[in-house]
Amino acid sequence: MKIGQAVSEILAEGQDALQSQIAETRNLIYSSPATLAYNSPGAEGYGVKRAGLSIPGSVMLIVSPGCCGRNTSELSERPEYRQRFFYLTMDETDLITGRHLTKIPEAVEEMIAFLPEKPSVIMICITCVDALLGTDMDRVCRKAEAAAGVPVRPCYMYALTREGRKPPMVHVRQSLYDLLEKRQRKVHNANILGFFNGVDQDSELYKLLKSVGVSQIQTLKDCETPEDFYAMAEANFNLVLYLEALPAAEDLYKRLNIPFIQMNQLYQTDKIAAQYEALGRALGVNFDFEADQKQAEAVFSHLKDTASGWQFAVGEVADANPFELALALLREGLQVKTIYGTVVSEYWPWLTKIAALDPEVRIMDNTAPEMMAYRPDTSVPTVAIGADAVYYYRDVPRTAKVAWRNSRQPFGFEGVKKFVQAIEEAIVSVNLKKGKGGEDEGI
Amino acid sequence: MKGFRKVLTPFAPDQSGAVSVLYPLGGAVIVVDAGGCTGNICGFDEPRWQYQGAAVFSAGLRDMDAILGRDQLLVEKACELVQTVHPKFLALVGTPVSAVIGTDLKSLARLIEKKSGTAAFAVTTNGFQLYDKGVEKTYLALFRKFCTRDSNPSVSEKTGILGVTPFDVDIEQMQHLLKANANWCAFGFEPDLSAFQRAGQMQKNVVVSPSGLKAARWLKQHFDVDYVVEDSAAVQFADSLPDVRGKRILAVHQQVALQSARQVWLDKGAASVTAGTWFMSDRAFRQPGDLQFKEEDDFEAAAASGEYDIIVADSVLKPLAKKFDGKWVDWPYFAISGKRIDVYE
Repeated sequence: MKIGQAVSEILAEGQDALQSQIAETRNLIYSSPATLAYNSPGAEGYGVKRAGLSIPGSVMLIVSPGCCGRNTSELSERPEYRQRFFYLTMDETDLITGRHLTKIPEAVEEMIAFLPEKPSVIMICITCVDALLGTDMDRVCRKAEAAAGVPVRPCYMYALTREGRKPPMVHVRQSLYDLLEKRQRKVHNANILGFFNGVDQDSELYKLLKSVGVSQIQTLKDCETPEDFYAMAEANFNLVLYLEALPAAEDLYKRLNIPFIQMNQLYQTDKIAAQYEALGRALGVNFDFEADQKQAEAVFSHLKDTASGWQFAVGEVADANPFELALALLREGLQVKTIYGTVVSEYWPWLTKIAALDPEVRIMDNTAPEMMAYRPDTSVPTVAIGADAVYYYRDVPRTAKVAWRNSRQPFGFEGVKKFVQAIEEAIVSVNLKKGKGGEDEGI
Repeated sequence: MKGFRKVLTPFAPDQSGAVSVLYPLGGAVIVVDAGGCTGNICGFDEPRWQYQGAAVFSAGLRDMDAILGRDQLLVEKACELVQTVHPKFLALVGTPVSAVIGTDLKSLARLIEKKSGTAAFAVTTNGFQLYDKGVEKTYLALFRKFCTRDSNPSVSEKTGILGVTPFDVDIEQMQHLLKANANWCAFGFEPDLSAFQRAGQMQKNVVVSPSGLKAARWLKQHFDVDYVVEDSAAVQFADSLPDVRGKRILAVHQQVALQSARQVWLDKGAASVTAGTWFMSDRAFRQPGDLQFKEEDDFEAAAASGEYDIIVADSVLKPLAKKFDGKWVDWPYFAISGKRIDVYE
């Protein structure tokens, strides 16, 4: 795929020309300031390191060459991560002899002796080096567990397997939920799996579940104690809101017999409604979400007026899939100029729908070398959505900047409402600035 | 225990040091990794990345590359890159991945150069060593590649500065200094690849950290350029420390900074100055009693020894000096703490 191709051109080349999400990358990857997260999942957001410490009271031993743990310096400064990261730094001799593995039980014992309280879990994080050495981490963890007297689990920070069937962020979820042991299931309990930063509790999802008697809804983010986490084994069902948690949900079904239902973070209101209907059917109930749907449709329609004369640039570093989000905007009659994201064959249905509404939407791959010199179109006032789009438009006047990265993940109709509200506020702010004669400055 | 850390996070690695020299030179840097190393370098160790774009790429290695050893694929990707971004040179920077699978980076660079027609070289870092080793290797690679007899016909008035990276100095402060001193030329700090070509013309070189020593010796040997070893920022810092008369000082930093500061403190009447470092230590500048740390326990033991009245070190080391009851003076060092020096603070 060439950079800046129109969606119609991509369709003309056929689905076979696109790579699958699980196929390995074919190009060198440009380390763009717009998308650091691609290259270093641990650097921002929830990478393996932060994700691995999701269980309250857990600590992590990073077993690696020094370079792999370097950026943890920043993370360790945060109060919630103080005294939670430990390191067993490998040298070249370790690489040849594998002796670092024999030191892990001793390191784990030293960690326990150092900490004021016994940790709930010790996560051992290994990196590409041990992936290549073929280290049997399950065995290493069993040995360490015997020495420590607390659960020890592996997590794998392997960028080498990023596009594989079990990439690091999938595996870390499996490792965490593997700690749950069989308990009596409770009919009023459910878990939401997928997002490490939790789900916006204003979302109607919570209200709808409670309306049918699901009163105890748990996420990893909301566990305050280790017991809160272990009580997740009492759930009657799991709701999977992000694809990477699907294998963990499948494991929980096989091991603890907890069924799961998959939903997606979407912005097309009719698709959100369809998801709730499907969820209702699966649970044998009827959800009443009509009022929420109407409100979401109303705010979208209001946006059409507010954003008249504006074009949209939709990025991938946001709480949304850029292709689905762009499609949602196009379906509301808004003008999408650019999508920043990697096109994969799995997105084909969205691409065809986008092309049907506007065949000229341009697709830019953030990681392509050509993006070094990329400058966005500045002729039309633009709403830049996503941290990457905001980066490209950082110096462009008349840009409404909406990074759309929330402390908790937006979901459902409430997510749509908050998204539209964020855009409208950004547009109003630009218009106000213009009114004050500040149109030459970036907002 | 060897390699075990409870308090300190890992120090800046060699691959970050390598990229810190290459970053402003207008070449394409390919970090031969799966992605994480590049993210660590750009997102953490390279402060210029946020405001000064550079052609830094990850090779995007995947497990099948490691299993099948698909070096040819990397050559093809690199040659395509040359067509796209037209870099001044192409540098391959090694990581633990290339070290484990035994990639012959030098041969790959030769192949890329032959195929693409663009100068290419390798920096054989491996992520196990510290930033100064990476800086040292990169200087040597650049001088060997670009500094030839033909490009150095006469002596200029310029003074070369070696060992200046964002790990060692404050970037803004250094830029001001370079602006004020037109005759200074900081290798690998300014966007000037031609400085490496003309390195043999320098009147002299000033080495401000041990990472520049090997290159200075190479330039002396091949072009008879003299060098002095001094870190003026460290002198300035040391001079600002009051009440050192009769005091026993333990200072922790890089060796040239320590050497420069030591002289100031001894001149001001300090009873003794012990230099401690986790980084390179050149025999020529080592004094009896100087400390070469390997583990965090080494520093802990030194701080607890009762042999010092003042410890001058990065503040992240302070939690290891619980048994030290003397005076603590912060001396920031980004390569240790990962915290930027704020000279205006």
